[in-house]
Amino acid sequence: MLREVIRTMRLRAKALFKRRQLDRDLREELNFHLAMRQEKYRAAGLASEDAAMAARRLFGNVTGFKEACREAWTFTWLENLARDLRYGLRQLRRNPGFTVVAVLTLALGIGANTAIFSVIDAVMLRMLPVHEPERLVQVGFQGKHSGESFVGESFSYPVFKKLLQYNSVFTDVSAFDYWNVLRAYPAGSEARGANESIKGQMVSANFFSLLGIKAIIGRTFAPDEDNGADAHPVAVISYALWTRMFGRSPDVLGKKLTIQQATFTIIGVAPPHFSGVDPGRVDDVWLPVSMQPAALPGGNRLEQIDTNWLSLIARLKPGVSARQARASLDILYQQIQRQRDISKWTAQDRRDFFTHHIVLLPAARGANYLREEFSQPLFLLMGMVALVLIIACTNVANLMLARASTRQREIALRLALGARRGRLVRQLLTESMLLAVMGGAAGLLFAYWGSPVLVTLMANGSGRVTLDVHPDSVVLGFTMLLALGTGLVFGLAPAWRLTRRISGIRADTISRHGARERGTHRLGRVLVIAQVALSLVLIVGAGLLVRTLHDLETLNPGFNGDNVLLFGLDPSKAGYKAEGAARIRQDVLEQIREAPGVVSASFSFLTPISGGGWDNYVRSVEGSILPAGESVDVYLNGVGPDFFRTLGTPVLEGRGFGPQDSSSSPPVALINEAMARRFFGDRSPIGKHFRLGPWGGKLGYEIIGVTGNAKYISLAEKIPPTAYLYIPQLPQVPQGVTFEVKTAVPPLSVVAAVDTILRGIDPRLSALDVSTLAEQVDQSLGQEEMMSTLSSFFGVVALALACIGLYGVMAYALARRTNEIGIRMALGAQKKDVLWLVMRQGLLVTLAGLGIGIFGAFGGTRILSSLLYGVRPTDPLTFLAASLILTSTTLVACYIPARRATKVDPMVALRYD
Amino acid sequence: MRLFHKIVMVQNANSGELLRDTLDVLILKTLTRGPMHGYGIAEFIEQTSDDVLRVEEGALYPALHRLELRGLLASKWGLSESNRKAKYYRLTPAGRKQLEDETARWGRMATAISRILETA
Repeated sequence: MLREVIRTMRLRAKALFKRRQLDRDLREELNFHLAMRQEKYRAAGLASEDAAMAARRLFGNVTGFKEACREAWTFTWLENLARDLRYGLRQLRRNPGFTVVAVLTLALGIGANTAIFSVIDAVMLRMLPVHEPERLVQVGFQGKHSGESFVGESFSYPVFKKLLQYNSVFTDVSAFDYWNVLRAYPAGSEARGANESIKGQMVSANFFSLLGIKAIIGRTFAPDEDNGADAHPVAVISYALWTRMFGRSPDVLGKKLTIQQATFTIIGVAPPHFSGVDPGRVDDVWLPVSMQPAALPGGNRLEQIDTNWLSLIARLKPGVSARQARASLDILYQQIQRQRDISKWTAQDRRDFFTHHIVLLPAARGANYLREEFSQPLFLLMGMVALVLIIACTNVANLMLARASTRQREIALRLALGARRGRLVRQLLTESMLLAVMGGAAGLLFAYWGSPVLVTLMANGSGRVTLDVHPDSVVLGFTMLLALGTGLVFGLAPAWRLTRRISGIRADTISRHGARERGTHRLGRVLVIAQVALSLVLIVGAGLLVRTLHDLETLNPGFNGDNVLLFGLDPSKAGYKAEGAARIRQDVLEQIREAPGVVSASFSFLTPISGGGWDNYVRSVEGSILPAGESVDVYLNGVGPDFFRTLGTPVLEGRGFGPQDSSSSPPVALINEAMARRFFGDRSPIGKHFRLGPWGGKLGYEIIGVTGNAKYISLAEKIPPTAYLYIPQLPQVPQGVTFEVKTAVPPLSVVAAVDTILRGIDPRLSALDVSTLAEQVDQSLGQEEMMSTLSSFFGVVALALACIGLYGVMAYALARRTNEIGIRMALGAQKKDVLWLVMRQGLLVTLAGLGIGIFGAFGGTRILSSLLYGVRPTDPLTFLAASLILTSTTLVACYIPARRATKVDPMVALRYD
Repeated sequence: MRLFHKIVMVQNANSGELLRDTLDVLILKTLTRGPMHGYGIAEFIEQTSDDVLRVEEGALYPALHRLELRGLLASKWGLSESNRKAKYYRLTPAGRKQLEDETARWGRMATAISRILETA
C-alpha cells in the first residue's frame, strides 16, 4: 500500500515536471489508435475521408479525455489547493478589517498558549542535553517527619559517599548542591561590586562524566578532584561565561576566580547549551564539592552526616530497571542508616528515621524542584489560556459566520452551477486555515516576547529562576498544530453550515430577509453565550487569585517590614574566629544604631519570610500539658539584642533579651504565642524550662517572655510554634548573620553609611545581599503575584473578546432588522422602545451565558483551591463582582449598536433592501 | 436488434464506480495474453464479448493511465504489426495479483447475485 503510494507520487512528480513529454506521448498514443481504426474502416470498404471521419466521430471529445488522462497523472488536488489559496488570499485582502481583527484575535489566543507552553516545555518536557538522559534518575527518600509524610531530596556528604561506593545498580552517582548559589568573581574584581558576580554550584568530580559532558577546551574534573577538603581549588566554567567574560579566548585556562576567600583556577569550559541539570537555574561555574568549606560559609559539611545538602543524580546500569535499582539501593540505604549513632535521639525521631525509604525520580528532564514548585500553576495557566483560545476561536467563527452570510448569494450560485459541496467546504476551510496560520505566526511573535516576561514573573526579580525558553522544535510544532486545529475548529462549523443550508435552494430565492438566515443568527448567539460563560469562569478565577494576593499582602504578618534594611555580614570571611566575630557583630550594631536616620538595629540568623528555616524537636518541657515523651517540632531563630523592637513584633508577656543575658549567664529564650498555647495552654510559661533535642542535649533554656505570633517561612503558612534564642548565648553557631536596620528614612539610603561603618571597623568586611524586608516579603509572593497578574490579564482579554463577539452579533442582527425597526418607528415606536428592543436581546444572551458560567465556575474554581489563601473557591462576593463586571461591560457592548438603531431614519430603513 | 452495452468513463463518481472497476478488470484480464497496445485491447474486448461490450476510447485511455500509475501496468514504446510506433502495455506482478483478487471477488459477487435472482 505504502509502496504504491510512493510509486504513484514519484510518477506524478515526474509528470509534473515533464508535462510536455507527457502531452506528446498522449498525442502519439491517440494518433496511433485513430490510424488503426481508420485502417479498419477502410478495409471494410469505406472511402479514405469517410473512414477518417467515422473514426474521429466514434472517438468523441478528444480534448475531454485527454484532460481525463492528464488528470490521472497530475496533482489535481495540489492545483486546486493553490487555486483555493489564491482565492482565499484575495478574499482576505478584500476585507482588511475583518482579516486584521481575526488575525489579532487568533494571535492573542495562540500566542498566550505558545508562551505558557514554551515555559512548560522548558520546565517539564525538555530532555537534558546529556548522554542518554532517560537512564538518569534522581535519588530521594520518602518517609515521615513529625508524623507527616514527605519526600526528601537531599543527602549528607558521608551518605552520598557510601551510596556511591557500595551501590551495585548505578554506573555512577553524582552529587550537586542545589540549595546554595555561590557568588564568584573574576579574581581581583571583587572590589568593583556584586554586579559582576557569577553563579556557581558545587558538584562531585564525576558530575560531568556521569552526564557524558566533555569539556570543549581544557578538561572537566579528574576522578580524584573531590578528595580531601579544600584540596583542589579548580573550576569548570560554562560556554556562556566563556563567551561573555573571556571572549572565547583559549587563554581562559589557568585564569582565576574568587569565591569567598578562596581562589579557583579555571581548568575547562563546558560545551554550549549545558547549564546544569536543573532547568530552572543557569550556573556558570562548577567547583568540586570538596571545596565546600572554602566556598560556603558555615563550617565543614563534608564530615557532617546530619547536614543534608546534596542532591543526587545517578545513571542506571544497562539492563537495570528503576524498580530494581530502587529496591537494591534501599537495602544499602537502610544499612547506612543503621550504622548511625542515634542513641541520643528521641523515640519520635527514631520512629521517623526508620520510615525513610529510597525513591528514584526520573531525571531525564533534570532535577525536579522547579517542576514541583511551578507545575500546578503552569498547568492552571495552560487551562486558562486554553479557555482564552476557545473564546478567540468562537469570536473568529462568529466573524466568519457574519461575513459568510454576505456571501450567501455567491455560494448559492456556485452550488446551483454544480459546485460540489465538499469542494466549497474545502475552499472555505482553506480561508480559515490561512487565517489560522497567519494568527499562529503572529502568535509566535507574541510568545517570543511573552515567554521571557513570564519567566521574569516566575522569578519575581530574584533572578533565582533562569529558564531557556527559546522556541525550539517542540514549541514550534505545538504552535503549528494549535493553529491548524484552531483553523479547523472555527472554520468547519461556519463552512458546513453555510453550504448545507443552501444546497437545493435556487439562488434567486436567497435574499437578505431570507428565513434561512435565522440559523446563522442562532448559531452566532449560541457562540456568544459560550463566550460569556467562559469569560465568567476566567474572571471568577482571576478574582479569587487577586483576592488571595491582596489578602496575603495586607495580612498582619506579626512583624512590620516597612523601612527595614537587611544585609548579611560574615566576619569569618575576613578571617575572624568565633569570639572575634561576636565582637565585630557588637561593634557594627552599636555604630549603626548611632547612624543618622536609624531607629534601631539588630541581627539574627534568619529573617522572616526568607524561605529558610531552622527547626528542632523540643522535649522535656517543664509544666507542659502535653503527654510525656511526645516531642513537638518547633521552629527556631537565633536573634540579637533589640530584635523584637526592630521588627515590630510585640513582647506580650515577660521581657525581651537584655544586657543581663550573656554567654556566661543561664541560657534564655522567648517563645511565640503559638508555642505557649501548645505547651502550656492558658498557663503562663514564664520561668519554665525546655530542652532542644537531640543535639542541644544538655542545655536547658529558661522562657523569659512570650512574643506575638509572626510568620516564619511564608505568608500563607499557619504560624508554627517558634522559639527565639539569644545569639550571644549560642556557642556552636554559624558566624554569618543578617542585620536588620529599622530606619526613619528610606532604608536603602543608609546603605552608604553602613558601608562606611563596616570599612571603618575592618576594611575586609562588606555588606552581603543588601535588600529590604519589604522586598523580601514581596518576593515570597512571586507565585501569587504571577498567578494574579496573569489570570487578570487573561480575564480581561476574555472579557474583551466576549464583548467584541457580542457587539458583532448585535450589530449584525441589527443590520438585518433595520427594515423592521424602520417600520416600527414609522408606526410610532419611541426611541426607548427601540433601545429596549435591541438591548433586551443582548441582555438575554448575557444572562444565559452568565447562568451557565456561574454553574461552570462553581465546579471549575475548585482546582484553584490549593493556590488560594483566605478565600474559598466559591466565594460569593467574587462571583457577584465578576458577574457585575461582566454584565456591565457586555451591556456597554450592546448599547453602542442599540443606540445606533434609535438613530435609524424610518424612510431610509423602509427602502433598505 | 442487438444488445449494445457501452462502457464509458463517467465523471460522476457514484454511478461510474462499478463500470470503471469492471473496465479495469477487463483490461487486466486482456493483458494476461501478453503485451498489447490500447487499440488492441479495445478490439480484443469487443471481439471476445461478441460486440456486446464496446470500449470507448474516452474511457479506455484514462483507465490505462490510471492503472499504469497504480503500478498494475507497465508501458513501453514499440512497433506495431503495421510497423507503426505504438505504446504497449503489459501486466506487472502487482497487476496480476490485483486481477486474481478481482476475479475472486467477481466470482463471489456473481454467485451471490445469481443466487438471489434464482430464488423465486
